[in-house]
Amino acid sequence: MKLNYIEWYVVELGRNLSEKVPLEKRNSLLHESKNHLISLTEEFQAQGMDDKESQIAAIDRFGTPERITRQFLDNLNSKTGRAFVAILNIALFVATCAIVTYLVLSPNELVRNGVAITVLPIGATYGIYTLLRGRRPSTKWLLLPTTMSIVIGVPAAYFLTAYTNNGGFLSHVILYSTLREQTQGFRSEVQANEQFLKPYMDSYRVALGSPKYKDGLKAGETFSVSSYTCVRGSKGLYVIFDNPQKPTMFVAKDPNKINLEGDDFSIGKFKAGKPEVMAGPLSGTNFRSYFQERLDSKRRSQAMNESALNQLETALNMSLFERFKLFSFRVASATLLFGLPAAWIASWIAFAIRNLFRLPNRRFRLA
Amino acid sequence: MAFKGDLEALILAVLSDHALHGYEISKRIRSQSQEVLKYGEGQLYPALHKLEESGFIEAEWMLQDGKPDRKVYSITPG
Repeated sequence: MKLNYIEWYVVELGRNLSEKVPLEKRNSLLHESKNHLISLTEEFQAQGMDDKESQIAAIDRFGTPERITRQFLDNLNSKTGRAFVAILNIALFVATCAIVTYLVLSPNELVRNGVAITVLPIGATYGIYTLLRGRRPSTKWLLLPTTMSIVIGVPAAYFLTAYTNNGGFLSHVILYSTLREQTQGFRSEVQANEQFLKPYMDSYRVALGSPKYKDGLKAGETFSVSSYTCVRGSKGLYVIFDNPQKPTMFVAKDPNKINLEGDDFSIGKFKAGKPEVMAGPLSGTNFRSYFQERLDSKRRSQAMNESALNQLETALNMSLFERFKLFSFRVASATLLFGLPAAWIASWIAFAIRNLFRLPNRRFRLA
Repeated sequence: MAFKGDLEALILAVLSDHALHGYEISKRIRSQSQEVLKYGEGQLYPALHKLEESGFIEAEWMLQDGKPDRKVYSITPG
């Protein structure tokens, strides 16, 4: 069957209204629209137009299906109950605060990038659109974040890749030199500490075997470490405690007559957590483990720095294009993970605010 | 410039004397103001439905011999 223009118009209007307007209301509107168009056609025919011309003129005067649908939806929206809107507003506000707080505080870098790159700009775009237009963007416009990630995100990724601390130009200037310096510092510290610890531990046992500490140290008692001199003997370094009332420790400088100093080992007093054996094969066990703990902590710091340095060195050794690909992937992932939900939430919030304050529509079309 | 409320006010004014269907309402509004319906006479119907749901006007389908049924609107009695 061949449809005339009016029938075509009514079908088109029905298609626009479908799923957006309740069936009964839709049927009523379509019926009335058709009657109106027929009456207009008759009016134009009475003025001398032929059938085809009069139908086109009638449709022209009646307005586009899109505009009528939009106006109908605006009316439906404005009917939303104030209580519902208020509750929705509060719920969305709380949810958004919770989500954004979680995202901003997240230890995951990808999550934080997601917030910065997508949630704020995309959310704002959708929010402002809905606020002004009075209608949430159609589903197809949820593709906007993808478009934005290409139009804005990719050039931004290139810029960040080429110039920022993510392996770019500034990495060479600031980050790399600082990190390399730190790591070298850690490395030499650990080496020094290891060198210091070994002979010290050996000599410690000998020192504790002296008659001064033959009765041992009970739990909770304090063992004061004072200024002392280390002397290399036939069994290694010998540590002699000169003054237990002034606890100080020095770093070895002279291998033969050594003064030991430095914050890392200036423990001053060692308080035994359990009875410390001061003589015999198990002497100095607690004291030794205390030293060992501090050394391990130093080693962990070194490992972390070395890992960061390795990552940076890897990034610096990658070509610009490889780094760009990596960063673009992050931007795209962040967009999909966070941009779409942000758009959805922002448009709902703006929609609720608009209804709450009954803001007027603006006559422009983004879509 | 036409404000959003103009159309609804004009509809109520037109219906204050007679019960009318959509096409007739639009003709009368057109005779009073070209501006209000400048985006098309179709915009009348969303406004009519809104007024109906708000309780300002009521509507009734009128059967016509040999012609399509008409939905006739009138002011809700106070």
